[in-house]
Amino acid sequence: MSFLSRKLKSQRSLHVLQYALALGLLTYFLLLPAGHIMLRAFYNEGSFRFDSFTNLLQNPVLLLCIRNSLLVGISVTLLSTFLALPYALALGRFNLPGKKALMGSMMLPMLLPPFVGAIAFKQLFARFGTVNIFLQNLGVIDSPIDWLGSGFWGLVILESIHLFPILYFNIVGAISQMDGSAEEAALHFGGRNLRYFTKVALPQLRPALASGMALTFVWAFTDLGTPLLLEFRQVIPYQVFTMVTDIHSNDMGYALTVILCVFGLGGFWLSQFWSRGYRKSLVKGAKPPASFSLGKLGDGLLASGLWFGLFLSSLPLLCLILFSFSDHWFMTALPESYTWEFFKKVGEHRLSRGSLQVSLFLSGLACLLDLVAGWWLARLIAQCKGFARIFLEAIVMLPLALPGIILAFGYVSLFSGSWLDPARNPVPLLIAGYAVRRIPFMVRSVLAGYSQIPETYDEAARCLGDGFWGRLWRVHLPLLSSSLLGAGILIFAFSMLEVSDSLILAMEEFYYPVTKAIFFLTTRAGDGSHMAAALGIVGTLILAAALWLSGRLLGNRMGEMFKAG
Amino acid sequence: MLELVGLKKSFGSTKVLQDIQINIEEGCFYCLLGPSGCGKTTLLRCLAGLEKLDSGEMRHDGKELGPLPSHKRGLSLVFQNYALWPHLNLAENIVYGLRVQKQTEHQIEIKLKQLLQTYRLEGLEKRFPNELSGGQQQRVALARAMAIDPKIILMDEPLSNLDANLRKALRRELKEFHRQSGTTVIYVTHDQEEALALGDQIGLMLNGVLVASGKPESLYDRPPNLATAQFLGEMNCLSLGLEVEPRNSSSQQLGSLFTAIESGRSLCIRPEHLTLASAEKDFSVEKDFQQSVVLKGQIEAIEFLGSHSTYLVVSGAAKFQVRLNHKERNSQSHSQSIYSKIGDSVFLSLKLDQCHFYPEN
Repeated sequence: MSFLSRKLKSQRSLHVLQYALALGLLTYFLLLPAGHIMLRAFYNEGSFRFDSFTNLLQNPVLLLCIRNSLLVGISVTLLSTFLALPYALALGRFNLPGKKALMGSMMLPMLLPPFVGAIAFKQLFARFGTVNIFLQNLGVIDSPIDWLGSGFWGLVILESIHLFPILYFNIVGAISQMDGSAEEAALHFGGRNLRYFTKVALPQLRPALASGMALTFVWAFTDLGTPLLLEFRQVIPYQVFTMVTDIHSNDMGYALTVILCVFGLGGFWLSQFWSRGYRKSLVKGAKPPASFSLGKLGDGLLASGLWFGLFLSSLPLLCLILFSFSDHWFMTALPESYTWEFFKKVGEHRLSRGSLQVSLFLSGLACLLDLVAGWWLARLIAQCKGFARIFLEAIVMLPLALPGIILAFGYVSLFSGSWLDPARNPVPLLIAGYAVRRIPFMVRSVLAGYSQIPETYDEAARCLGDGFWGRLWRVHLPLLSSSLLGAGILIFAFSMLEVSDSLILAMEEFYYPVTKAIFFLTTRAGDGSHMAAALGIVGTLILAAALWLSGRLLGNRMGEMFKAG
Repeated sequence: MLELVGLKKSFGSTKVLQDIQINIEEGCFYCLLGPSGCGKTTLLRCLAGLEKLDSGEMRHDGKELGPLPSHKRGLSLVFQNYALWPHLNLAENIVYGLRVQKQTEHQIEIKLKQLLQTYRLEGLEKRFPNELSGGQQQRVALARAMAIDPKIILMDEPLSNLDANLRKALRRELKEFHRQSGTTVIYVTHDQEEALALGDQIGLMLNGVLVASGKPESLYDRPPNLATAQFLGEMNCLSLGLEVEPRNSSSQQLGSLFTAIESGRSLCIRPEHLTLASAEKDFSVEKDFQQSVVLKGQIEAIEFLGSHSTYLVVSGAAKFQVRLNHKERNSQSHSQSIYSKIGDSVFLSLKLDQCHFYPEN
């Protein structure tokens, strides 16, 4: 056997070994926890049982939770689409004044995580909140209106405001990749307006729309933080959260988690089904369609309308800023006086300062882990062929469809009593949870980065005698740096504001990350809400800086991050 | 000498290289010519160590190359797109291989200076690849390849992405580079003109098989087989059973012509070796008229191509391309009128000593 064939054989063995290791790690930290929940839901005390599901279906409160969660998911998806479509079509197809500024500002509503926005939302729409007092001062209403009601619409609006930019980025990206000549051909053959939109444009936008809608649905359907802060308790995630404490004695939590999982994956399957066959029809590198103009007045009016919409979407953020600086804000439309006090307290208070340190530490480590693991997995996927590639890629991308709350619940259920018991020390599982949830971002970013690097760059270095590590250091990493850094920063920021894992896994105050600290502070009387708002603003600033930096580093590839399929 | 013996390579069920045998002398500029997908790049990549052969031996000066990793083969590869690393400047690109070899900074500096001078790149050291012209990029790729003192340079269609004018200019530069360096070059191209202009030797590959190898002039003037005749340059090939309209009286010549065609062989003649006239008597002035066969035909199409024109003439069931340069076209000895119109009747003269006969398969 020649040296080369021996070497090739050893490389193949190494590759198989790496593949097995990747599968092992992903199974341990992703498939096993999720699988454990499934197993516990159906298999208990040595036999397969469906007790928990029959009990669940006989429990009117839990049935209401399922109905509410579905309604929230569907409503948020529809409202987000309703908000995103006009923005995407207007900014993608019209020559509007200040278009660049408008496009840049589309990130604004994303900056405020909805569970942080809930603090501001309550201040705005409470019985004696800003809106009621403002309307009373204007003489529009005599007595305060109960805007929040059960909290359902507040939840829908807050989540829609946060999520519609994701749909917008998906659709506007698809518009920029549309084949302009397809539109010209449709117009040439007499297809206009509605017919053109339904027969030519929509099919081209369908994959992006489906992918964005799936992400939005799953996000809203499984969100834990916002219902918690809005005190809208009749949703599945809230119930699952409360059942963590008696996880080993109550099987209902498992059944509810299975339902979350089924609907989550179902949403993704539905989106894939809806967009099947259309993905290939997108022509790469095609000339984008021409832009329209409604005339000076029309363009101006449209742009003003979009700005106004953005202003409304940013109201919770503006309100949160005011709230975090307000010294006294009660029974008045705006704060009576302002102070830095709460920001100072955030820096000084044991809980808030500690939570920032914990979050920085956990997110930093998760980010590092994803940098290494994401690059490694992306390379492995790129090297695989056929079923092996599809299988590994599907598992790596699974966290996009698998809600965080399921993973967190699975961790508690599976690792309680083991060396990874989160009750003793949640740090390893928090890091693993953050990293696993965001690994698809890194893998996608690296794959997109590699797709832009010709193979000949590596071959040229090989021909000149450079080994694997030399090529990695001198060729791959410099060329991938923007992809790695861009995704890394995004992962860091999202991990800082991760809700489900943090709320469920961090059980002692010493380990509270920022999000759990915010939740904990809102329950504290006195200045708790103000401190929570200030801490929320700090988190928002970190997210804003991260999104800006990632956008600079990733450019157009950033849109790829927010795709479901 | 580089010896390639019985090289075989398949991708799945597709045989990409089939028993390739080539000997390349030291200092030779060897052009591997062939259409896209014929296996020439695969052969180059196997030589470079980027692909593994299924079987066969590659020896350089008697040393087997197969077991050696890419960088220990004494070869350097110039890629089709040059593969200059965009994050490294010109100087860093050139000295990459030297750094990998862990040469001292002093040695690297001396070598860089010398290469910059040789490839006329002085003053551009700090520029990045995207700040260089196509020609400069090519020179950087060459300098990078030459920096490690290879015994053989492999080039994978390095001119294919350039426009026609730049391609011609760089072709001359490549020839000059080869003349000065004396390095053995194996150059892959699908462009016949490029291969004929550059190569000391040409290897013609079709469907993974090396169908011919030799000097450009001999391959062009005396193609060893039908495949070479058909691929290299323009060629009229008459196959079995075609009926033509003979006009001149030499039955012996006609007899030999038809015997050739009817015995399962093809008759091939280059378009520039055919002569056209409006009247049969016009050929009688030609000195070797007795060695020619005259056919009657009709002009079916005319292509004006600048320096020359191509006429498509139909004679019976056979079609001939005839190339006339402008001097010939305007020659006073021939009547001008026959060259002007489609549908005109003309006479074709084939010189027998310029006809090639090949077995049909």
